[in-house]
Amino acid sequence: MLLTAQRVVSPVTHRQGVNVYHYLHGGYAWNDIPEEFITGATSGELVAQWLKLEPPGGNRVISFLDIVAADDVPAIDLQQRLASLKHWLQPQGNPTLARWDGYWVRFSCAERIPWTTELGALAGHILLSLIEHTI
Amino acid sequence: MTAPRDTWVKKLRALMNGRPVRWAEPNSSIGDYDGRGRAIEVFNADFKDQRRLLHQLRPDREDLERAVGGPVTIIFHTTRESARLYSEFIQAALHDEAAEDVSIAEYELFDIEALAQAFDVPLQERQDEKPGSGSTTLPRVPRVAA
Repeated sequence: MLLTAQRVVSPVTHRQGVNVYHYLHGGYAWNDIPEEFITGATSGELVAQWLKLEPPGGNRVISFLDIVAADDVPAIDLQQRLASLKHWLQPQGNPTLARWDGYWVRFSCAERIPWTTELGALAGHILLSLIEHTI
Repeated sequence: MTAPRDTWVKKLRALMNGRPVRWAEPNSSIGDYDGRGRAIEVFNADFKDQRRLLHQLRPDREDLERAVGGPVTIIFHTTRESARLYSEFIQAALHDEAAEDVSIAEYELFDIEALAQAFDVPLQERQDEKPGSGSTTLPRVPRVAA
């Protein structure tokens, strides 16, 4: 699966919002995440989206977080990783890329945005979307 | 005023890398021992992580024990057992943590540049047999403005 959150701003209204998207790759078994899922060549099929700022195309992205994992990863493990991400991931360039056991993470934000706060916020938006979706 | 025990729960949550934490209810633990009322439960902490988490707590442990009046006992619950026995609490704790994280105010945009050439794109969810547009491209794929 690919979970992605983007903080976007409308160039017209200047409204801001965080949009979250959930893609599935299919029930494949893998030892390591296939390269095509990491590069974005195959992002998977969009199965859910939580939109705070409707994307007609053209909204400016000021930060984003991508997380790739197997579709069948236990929900509690995924949720805990999202909660722990701001403590675990260290800035290493923009974007910052990292592998975390069976997960792959990519985070990027514009300069002047507080890095850890924004990472926590985007991970939090994904986490809330998933939790509220399953309740 | 917030009680020291409540204040420490938040701090411990950060020290435990965002894991759900709570003070153990004395009536939920078996046996009688010194400090029974000062036991901390840490959830989603697998065996491979427990030593590191204890290490992370070490610099603050003395302050913690002074604040709550004596030695504390740390009780780790693995992810599997956390899900099996405490799923309701875990879900609520993670939800609260995330709600706190997303509650930041909007950024002042006049001095924030958007990521270079990054635009969102229209997306289409699957409709019956028609696949969603997410199957071919990331929503964030850069494209040059017309």
